[in-house]
Amino acid sequence: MPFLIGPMHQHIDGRKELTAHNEILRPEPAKELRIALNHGNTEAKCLVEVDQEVKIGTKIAERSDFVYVPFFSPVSGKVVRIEKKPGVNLRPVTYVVIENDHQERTEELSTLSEDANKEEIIAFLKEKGIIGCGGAGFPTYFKYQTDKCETLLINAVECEPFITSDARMIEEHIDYLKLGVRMLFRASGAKVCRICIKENKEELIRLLEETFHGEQGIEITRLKDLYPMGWERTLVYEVLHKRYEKLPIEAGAIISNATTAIYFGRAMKTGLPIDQKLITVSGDAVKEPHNVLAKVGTSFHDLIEACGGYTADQVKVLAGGPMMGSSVNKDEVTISPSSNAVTVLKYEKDDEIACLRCGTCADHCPSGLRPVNIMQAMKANDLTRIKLLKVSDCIECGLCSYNCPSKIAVTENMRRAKRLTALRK
Amino acid sequence: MEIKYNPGPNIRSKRSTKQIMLYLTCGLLVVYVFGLQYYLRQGSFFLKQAILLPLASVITAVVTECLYALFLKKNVVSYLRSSFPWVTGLILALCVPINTSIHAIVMACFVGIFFGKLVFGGFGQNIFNPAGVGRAIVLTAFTGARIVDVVTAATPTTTFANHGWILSPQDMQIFLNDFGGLKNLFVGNYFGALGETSTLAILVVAVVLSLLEVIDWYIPVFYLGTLFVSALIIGAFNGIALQYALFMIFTGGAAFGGVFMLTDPVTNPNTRAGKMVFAILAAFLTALIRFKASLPEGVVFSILLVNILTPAIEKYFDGKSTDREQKDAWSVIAVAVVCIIGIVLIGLSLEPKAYASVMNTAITLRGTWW
Ligand code: SF4
Ligand code: SF4
Repeated sequence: MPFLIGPMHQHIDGRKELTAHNEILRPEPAKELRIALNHGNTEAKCLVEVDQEVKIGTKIAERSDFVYVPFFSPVSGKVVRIEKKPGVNLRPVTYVVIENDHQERTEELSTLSEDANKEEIIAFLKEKGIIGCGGAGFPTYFKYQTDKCETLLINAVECEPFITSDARMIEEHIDYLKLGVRMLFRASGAKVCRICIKENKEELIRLLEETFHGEQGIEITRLKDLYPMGWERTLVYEVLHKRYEKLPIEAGAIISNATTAIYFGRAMKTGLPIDQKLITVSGDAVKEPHNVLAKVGTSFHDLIEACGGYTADQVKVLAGGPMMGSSVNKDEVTISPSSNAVTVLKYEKDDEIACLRCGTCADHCPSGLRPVNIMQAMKANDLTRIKLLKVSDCIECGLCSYNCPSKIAVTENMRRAKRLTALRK
Repeated sequence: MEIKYNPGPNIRSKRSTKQIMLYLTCGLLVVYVFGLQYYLRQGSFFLKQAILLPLASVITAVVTECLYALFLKKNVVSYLRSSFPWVTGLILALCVPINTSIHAIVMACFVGIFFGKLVFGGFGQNIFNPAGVGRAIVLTAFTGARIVDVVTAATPTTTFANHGWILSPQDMQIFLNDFGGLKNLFVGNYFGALGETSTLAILVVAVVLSLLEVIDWYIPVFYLGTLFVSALIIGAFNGIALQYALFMIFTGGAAFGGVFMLTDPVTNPNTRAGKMVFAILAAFLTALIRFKASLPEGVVFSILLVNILTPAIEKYFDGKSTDREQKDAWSVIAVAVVCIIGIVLIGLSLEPKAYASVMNTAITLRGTWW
């Protein structure tokens, strides 16, 4: 009830016009590609050695604890170094550095037939390392290992400002999308599949309607232009009017990103894993914002150079969009299969003043948290109250800071509070 | 070129506290201009008061905070720009009686700013509404606060308070006629505080400020709504239902307090349900003070009293909002019901006194342009 707890979302000017219609850049792949072997905060096991020859699709590492995530070489060439350097979350991670021989030699790659059944689809998703392309990078196969799914949601919302890579992928690869969605729908066992998209993307909606016309059970769902509409919880609530505790499957839903479906479709036909990504390079401090098609392992620096370079003396470079993207302090970090954007913004110091205790941060929190109370509790060092206020439910969406009229770094305070509770569990 | 680390989010909404305060100041000025046009036609003394009161008040507020900033060795300009003393000064000038002496408002403003705001640590830390503190000082501490050698006019609220807050239907009619009817009470062409008389002007400003997200619309709605509903019931028992209910919210600064003082985010609770309960309790206290103490100034005292309750209300509504949606809804409803019943019970114990028309007072109170 928005009346009592606030709207829990917010319209944000998306600035998507910067990259929504211009050309997609396809620069020559770099001479050296540096693949970071981390999946979230977990290090994957390296399977190659220095001087080893690799081809496109050679498995170079894998994560195999409770989930299985393979890492593949995006080019053919030779492993020249294995090094530890800071990754996008600033922590040191292992990089496999591959020297590109520009031969484009490819491994023998398996494909999948269009009448594969649920088990075959899941096995294929797993083998090809298809992961969530919306940013989180969770392995796709994992979510489909259930028979409780009633609704499959294909997430084409793309609610982060500046980012247009999902939309551009759909335009470019509508056939792969059609195939991928159809197969994911089968694997999910759901009765309905809803492709969720913002209502203001009219051209794309028309394209989707044409494409999926006559497909049994597949519908296009239009959503308001609000942030964070693409976040699973908000999406499930807005589309299905259900809240859940931990996973969307509790509400009978599986959510997969549209780009994920496209890469799945592509893998079925070509056998290729996610070897390249379409990256939106945008923001107010990059000369010519564009979408850039780049090999996994390309550095942010090369992407920004492809777009004409920086235009300000002091910049912020973000892995992702301006709301949830993480700030990096070196542009030598590289893109991974889950990257979708690099945002470059002018650095300006926020003009912070005292908290008004206005509650705006609470009104808009998509998790229903009350950041102002959490900050009070932090000031009083009251851990019990911080826990009662459930700071662990914070998804770091950034809306509280975005909306705070006093320009307080509310989200950063939430991260601190989370760390505090995690430390003293 | 330098890459700076900055934890996210890395864009911010344009809405800022400074902008909110700017809009609020403009809203107050609109209400002020309305008061000014009335006193423009009431002779040079009142005109002088109408100009000097806000000037003196705003200057005192700004100077006090300037000195405080100097004392703290802070940059005065940036301090003032994030502390907004003029808002307090303006609100105070708009809610004191028009015949308040200049030295009284200077003192009141100083006390309001210093003891109501600065000793708590400045903007954002104060417990009481600073303008409310100043207003209470004018009411109580200064016996010579009002300039007495000028013929003072009876205001609708003082007159009504003197008659024990209830009248028989016939007397109610005479009373309303004395002040130009309900319509004039709504429009506000009568003696009172500079900014409090025109409920019309205040409500228009309130709608605009709500749309601009400067104030939370539900605070005045719950405050005035509670007063209205309970007065409607009390009035119905006395045969003056609608007149009584409208009178309750048109006069005595109820609209002004509800729109400009209860909505002060610093001194009200920080959750929506909390703000609603806060507004309802304020209405209850206003009625209690009006009826039981037979005071015309129920509004300002109720605001200060309910400010004290803010921490307790916040404590009650603490938690994650999606977890307690139901509970919050029921709490608001329960408080509303209890408060309305409470006001009605107290109101029904009032006995109507015989009413003597105040029409013989030296100044004609009827509005002249509506
Ligand atoms: S942190 Fe910001 S948004 Fe939240 S209550 Fe304080 S001033 Fe308002
Ligand atoms: S960052 Fe966390 S606390 Fe802030 S609005 Fe998002 S979920 Fe809520």
